[in-house]
Amino acid sequence: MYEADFQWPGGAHIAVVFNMSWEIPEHAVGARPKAKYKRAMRPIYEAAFADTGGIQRLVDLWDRHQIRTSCYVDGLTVKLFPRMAQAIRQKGHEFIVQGWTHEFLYDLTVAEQADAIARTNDAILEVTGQRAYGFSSAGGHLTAETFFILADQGFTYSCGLRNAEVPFIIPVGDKKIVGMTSYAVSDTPAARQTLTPREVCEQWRDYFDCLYDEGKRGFPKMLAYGSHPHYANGHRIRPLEELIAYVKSKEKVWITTRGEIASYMLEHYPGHDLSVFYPEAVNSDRLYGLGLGIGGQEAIGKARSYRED
Amino acid sequence: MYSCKFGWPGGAHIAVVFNMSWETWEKSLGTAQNNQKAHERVPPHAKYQRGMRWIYEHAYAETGGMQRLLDLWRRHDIRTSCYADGHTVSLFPDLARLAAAEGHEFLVQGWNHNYFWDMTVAEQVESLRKTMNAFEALGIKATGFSSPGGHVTAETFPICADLGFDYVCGLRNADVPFIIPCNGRRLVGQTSYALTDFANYSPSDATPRDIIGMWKDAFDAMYEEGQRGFPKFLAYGTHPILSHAFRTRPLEELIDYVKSKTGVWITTRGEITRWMLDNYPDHVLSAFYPEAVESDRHYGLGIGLGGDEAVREALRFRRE
Repeated sequence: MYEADFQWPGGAHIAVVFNMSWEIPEHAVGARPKAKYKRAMRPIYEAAFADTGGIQRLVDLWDRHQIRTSCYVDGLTVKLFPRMAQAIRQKGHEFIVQGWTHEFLYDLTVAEQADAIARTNDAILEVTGQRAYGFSSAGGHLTAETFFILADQGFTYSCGLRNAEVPFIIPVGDKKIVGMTSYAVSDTPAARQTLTPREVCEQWRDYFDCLYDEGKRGFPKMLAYGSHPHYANGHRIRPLEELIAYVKSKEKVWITTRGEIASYMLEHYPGHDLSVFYPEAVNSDRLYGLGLGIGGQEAIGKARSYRED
Repeated sequence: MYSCKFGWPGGAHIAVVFNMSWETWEKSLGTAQNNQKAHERVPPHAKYQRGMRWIYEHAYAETGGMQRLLDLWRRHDIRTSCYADGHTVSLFPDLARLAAAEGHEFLVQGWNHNYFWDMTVAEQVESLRKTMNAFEALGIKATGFSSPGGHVTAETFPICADLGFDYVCGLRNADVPFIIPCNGRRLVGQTSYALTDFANYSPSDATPRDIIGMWKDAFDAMYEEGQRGFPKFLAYGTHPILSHAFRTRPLEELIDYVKSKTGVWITTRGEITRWMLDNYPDHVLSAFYPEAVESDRHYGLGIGLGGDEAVREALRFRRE
């Protein structure tokens, strides 16, 4: 299924990450510029639930199940809610820089992008006493410049990707960044009412079973589940708890964080770019301009051709 | 999970409210100008300028839907909190009087489900006053308000305070009721609901059993949170326009389930309000969640905690 020689610690069949995305929505949410009152409040109240109910419920859940999550976080969130941010870090969850608010990177110039990332990391450092080394792009959108900005600012891993189920090294100049997919399955479709929470969890469980089997057959991978505090209404918790119980009932599952995966890769597989797993990755990078560091000038040119500013 | 001491009567683990929303949407229903449901519009140059299917579907509320709901609550001995439009009770006074006589509490929603972002301040006041008058004409007393679709504006809470309301619903930012200090009054703010039968508005949505299943999961999780010392409240929203029997049947099973548990307070929003004002008159949302101060400041939620900054943030969206 892939070419590389690759293993998890202790020969685990699969690595599992539980994610949280603790966010402030982008400015456009609820906006109605032609209305008499220029915003619709319902989505605002729903977003606000993240901080007066949602994050508290999720933190309680992870506490009870002794899980440390990888938490994508916005800089403004940390600034507005420092007490909660400190509590979350103290409980062992890792913060991963997302951006100042949930603006998509395609809506920012290069300078704005670099500034948002730096300001967010500054806020995390100021509030929690430790900087973050991981980044994840809001909505999974990056630009040609993102990996260079990250390398410049001392980040060692970048998530938000969606093109592989294994972590891989992205060479950026003389630095290395570990690239990781975020997740294909998260609580979002259920929040948009296209699926129920149970259906989402059932999908994730099917995904887990499949990857676990592939791991047993010698091709271990990673799988994450994405939760959002602003979606953490009561009805999403029970199915997720059953999922956690299921994962814990299987042997040789490494429940971990993205930071631990990044450290593991840099230490044990520092040469495993994506083409080591999948030789196809070279032309994939060239064709799409993915920024994986293996498509040469062609890939870089392709990616940059979309920059307007 | 939250910072303050809080409990329900008799130490109940959870408070449950069953809601009805009895509405008469604006005359733009089914026309090209419909601003309520984007896909329920005829093209602008239609030769007959409204789609009658949607009209018939709404008319079902008073020739089938409401009657089924009243029968259901009667059989299960449940008094609901009923968000009602002024236009509705004016058109159907006997049905309104019957519902009130059977113990359902009426909350003022507005004249005709127009969203508050589409109204000037004067139009808001007019809508609420007209509705209050319509209720009074039928001998129905209402001290609670709920915003159509969950939308308010910066001015809504002061308007409600000035009109003498005690509670404002339609919020969605917390699972607990909380005090909103406003113009020298205490309002009790309440979330409406995350789960309603509206999630099965069309056949391709989640099924009624799915929705009821989700609500049961919510109830189970929150019941446990209450057992662990953090009681909250949970509501389920019904709509007469959607009260076909395939939706009410799973609801009846849900009611049986809720009633099978001990320590459940099945109540109304008015009773929750009295409980708060009598026992927790200072429990603003920051008593539960200190984060609520910055939340109000950042979003301009109108919950009385974010000071001038919150008020300014909310007011800057006023265009007309």
